[in-house]
Amino acid sequence: MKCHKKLYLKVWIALLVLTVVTVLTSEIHFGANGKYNLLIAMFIATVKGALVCLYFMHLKDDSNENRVVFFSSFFFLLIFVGLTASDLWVRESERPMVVQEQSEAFDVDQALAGSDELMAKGKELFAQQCAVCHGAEGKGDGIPGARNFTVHEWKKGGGLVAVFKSITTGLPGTAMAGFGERLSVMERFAVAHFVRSFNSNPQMDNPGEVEAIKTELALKSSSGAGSVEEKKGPRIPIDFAVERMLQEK
Amino acid sequence: MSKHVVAHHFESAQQAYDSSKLGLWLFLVTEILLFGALFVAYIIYRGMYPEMFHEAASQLNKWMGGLNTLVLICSSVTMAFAIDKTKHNDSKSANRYLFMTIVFAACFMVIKYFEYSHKIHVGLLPGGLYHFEGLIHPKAPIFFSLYFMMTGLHGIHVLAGMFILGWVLKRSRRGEFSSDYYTPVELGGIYWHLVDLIWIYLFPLLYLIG
Repeated sequence: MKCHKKLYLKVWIALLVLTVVTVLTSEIHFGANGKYNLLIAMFIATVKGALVCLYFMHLKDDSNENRVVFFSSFFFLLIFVGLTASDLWVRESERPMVVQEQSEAFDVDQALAGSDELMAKGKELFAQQCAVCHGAEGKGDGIPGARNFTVHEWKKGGGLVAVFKSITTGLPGTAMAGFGERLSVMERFAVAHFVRSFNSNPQMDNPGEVEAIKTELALKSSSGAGSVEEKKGPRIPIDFAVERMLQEK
Repeated sequence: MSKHVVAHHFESAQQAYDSSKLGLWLFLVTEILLFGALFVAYIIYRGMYPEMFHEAASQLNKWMGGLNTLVLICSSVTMAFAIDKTKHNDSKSANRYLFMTIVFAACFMVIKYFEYSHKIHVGLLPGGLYHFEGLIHPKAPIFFSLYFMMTGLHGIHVLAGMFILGWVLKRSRRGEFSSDYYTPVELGGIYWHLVDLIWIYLFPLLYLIG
């Protein structure tokens, strides 16, 4: 029986060297934003893995049976990963929850006035996010208790701003969730416009509501009223901030 | 040196050896899929929150992770030597190498202990227990849930490996293994190499994204 000492030492050195290479290459950015780094790291890991499998685990000298058995697991893993990941790729409408997302300048006057474009966007979003409960024609026939938008039975009022607020915060204690984190401000206005279009005689907001929302939206940015800009980036959730402030006292 | 008796339900020593090995490889398939499920979760969440993963991973110490990688690679080579020596009827050397493998495994756990205790201390914890102030991101707990699940499950496998190899060492000291029969040493070794293999993938995915 052959003594494999020299072979094992060579594989050992190779593994040590490749580990060092892995760590060093992680410090360099390959491609824009280091987009090739993951590929390179996985490639090196696979080379190392292959060395361990073939030489330390003796698969190179082993029967075909064991090789097929072991590598079949990676084949099934590929199916597992592929099908699961493909779910992410086909979901355009579902986005991951981010605290704030928009970076384009937000024009509150345009949002309040509405437009054909905004209405079309609202229609698209309604189909994706709202129709499941409120029905494709807004009749509330998706789930029991969902609001029927073709008649005036608003919980919080049927004016544009009132509907926008209901969409943003949801209705606590009901199945109506808040979309403040899932849709941008402009998107919520778009949906509000579309939702109100189900009724040919829409309600109006209470006096002062429009000015109030303009002020509230202006406060959310550093630039003044008029064109309200929403910044990108993670922000502290309000309850977390309140908690911390209380702790600091 | 005790002579190994082939169990009566096997045709021959060779068949006993082959079927034992196949049994272990089938077990390794289940291990690949076990860790594979966690890797799938990692892939999905990393696809959804790439920047958060980048920030969270920089909280890990890549030098400790790298050192652990080197430790496991050394333990793999000592294991390979142990099997080789057993096959050549040199149980004395084999026992030394088995012992060294277990020592390396213990080193891995010690380094892991330092990593974990630091994280527990600063609040880098999984899910709802997360309270680290250096990284305030609503989804950061997800990364650390994955980190603790994956390295924790791997750590359990290292611990189990230490017990298995300890048992193999005990039997080897009793003179149970030789060129005629060394199956437990080989199978214990293949399991141990799998533990190394899994870490080879865990290390870059968790530690080197930052």
